[in-house]
Amino acid sequence: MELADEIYMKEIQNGRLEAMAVLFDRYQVRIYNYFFKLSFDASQSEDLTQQLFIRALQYRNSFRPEQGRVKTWLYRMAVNLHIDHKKLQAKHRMTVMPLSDVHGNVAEVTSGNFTEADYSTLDKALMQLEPDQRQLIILSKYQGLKYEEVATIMGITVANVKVKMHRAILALRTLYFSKPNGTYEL
Amino acid sequence: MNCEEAMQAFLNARETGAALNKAEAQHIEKCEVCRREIAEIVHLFAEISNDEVLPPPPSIRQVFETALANEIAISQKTIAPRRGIFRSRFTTMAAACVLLIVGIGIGHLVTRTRDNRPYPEAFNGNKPDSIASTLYQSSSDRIETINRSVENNTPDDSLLVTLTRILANDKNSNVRMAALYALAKYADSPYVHECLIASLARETEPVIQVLLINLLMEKKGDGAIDAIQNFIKNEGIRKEVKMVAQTKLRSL
Repeated sequence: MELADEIYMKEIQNGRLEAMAVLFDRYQVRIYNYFFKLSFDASQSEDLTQQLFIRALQYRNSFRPEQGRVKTWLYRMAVNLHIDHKKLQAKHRMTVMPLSDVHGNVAEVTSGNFTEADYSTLDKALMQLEPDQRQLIILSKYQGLKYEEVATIMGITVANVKVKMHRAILALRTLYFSKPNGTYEL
Repeated sequence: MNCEEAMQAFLNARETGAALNKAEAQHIEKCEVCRREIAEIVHLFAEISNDEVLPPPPSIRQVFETALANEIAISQKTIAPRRGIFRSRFTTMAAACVLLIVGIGIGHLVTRTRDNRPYPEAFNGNKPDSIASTLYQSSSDRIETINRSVENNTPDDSLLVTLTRILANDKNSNVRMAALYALAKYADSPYVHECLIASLARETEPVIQVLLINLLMEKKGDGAIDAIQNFIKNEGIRKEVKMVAQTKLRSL
C-alpha cells in the first residue's frame, strides 16, 4: 500500500528532502499533461513543470495539512504558475502554437473508438473555451479531480464549481458538436 | 422539472455516483432534447478519458534532480542549533530589527557609490547571449549542454564567462537555473561571485532569486549581504522572497 503524500510532505518539512523525489514521481506526468492541455505547447509545459517542482521544493514549508492535501497544494501552485505565465506572455505578446502542429495529419484511427480527427476537434473546442472553463474541464475531467478538490484549488465553493462545470461542459459540447471535424479556426 | 434542472441533476449524479430521483429520471426518459444532450456529453467524457497521456521529457527529471541535490546540500550546511541569547523569540526579533536598520543604512551608502563600480563582463549591455540561444534550439538542449559542460569540474575562464552570460541573459528561467547550479560549484571564484551579485539585482524569477540568496548567504563573500539588503528594498520583489532573504539575514 502506498503511503499518503502528506506523510512524505511531513518528512520533507522535517528536513528529509529526498522524499520530494517520491512526490515528483507521483505527479510529474499529471502536471506535465495538465500544462500541456492548457497550452498545447510542449516547450512551455516542460518549463512550467520544471518550475513547479522547484517551487514546491523551495516553498515546501508553505504547505499546511489543515488547509488541504498535497495534491491540491501542488495543483494550486500549478494554476498560479500558469496564470503568472499567461500574464507574462500577454506582456511580451508571445505566440501560441497552432493546433495543427500538435496533431499533424488527421484521420488515423487511434485507441478506443475515437479517431485522431475526434481528438483534434476536441482539443480545438477546448482551446475555444473561456480560460476559466478550460481550467475547470482540465482539472475535473482530464485530471480526474473531485469537485471538492477543484473548489480548494480554484478558491471557490463546491456549489460554485458545480454551476461553472455545468456551463463549461455545455459550452464544450456545443463547440464540439456544432462544427464538423477540423474546421475550427483559432 | 425543466431541461436545465435535469441536466444539472444528471451531471451531479455522474460526478457523485448517486442515482437520479424519479422526477429527474422521468424527465430525461421522455425528453428527446435531454437524451441527445446526455448522449453527446457521455461521448465527450469517453473521449476525454481515452485521450492520450503524454510522457514528460527527461529534462524535467534532470533539472529536478539537480535542484534537489543542491537544496539538500544547502540545507545540510545551514541547519544550526539556536543557542544563547537568540533562544528567545523577542530577542531574535529585536536583533533582526537592529540588523535591518543597520543594513538599510549600509545599503543606502553602498547604493550611492555603486554606479562607479565596474560590472563583470557578462553584465555589460542587455543583448541576449548568442552562444546559448543559437547553437541549441530547445531549452532542454541548452540545459543538457550546461550540465555536461561542468561534469569534469575543471572549467576554463571562457566556460565561466559563458555560464554567467547565460545566467544574465537567457530568456528561459530553467536554463538560467541550470546555469546557476553549474556556477554554484565555482561560487568561490571572485568573478563568479561578482556575477551572482549582479544577477540578484536583475533576476525576475522568484525561484532563482531564492537560490541566489541561498548561495550568496552560504558563501558570505564581499558585498553579498549588501546586495541582499538592497534587494529587499526593491518594491517589485515578492513578499515570500523578501521573507526568505530576511530570514537568511536574521540567521547571521
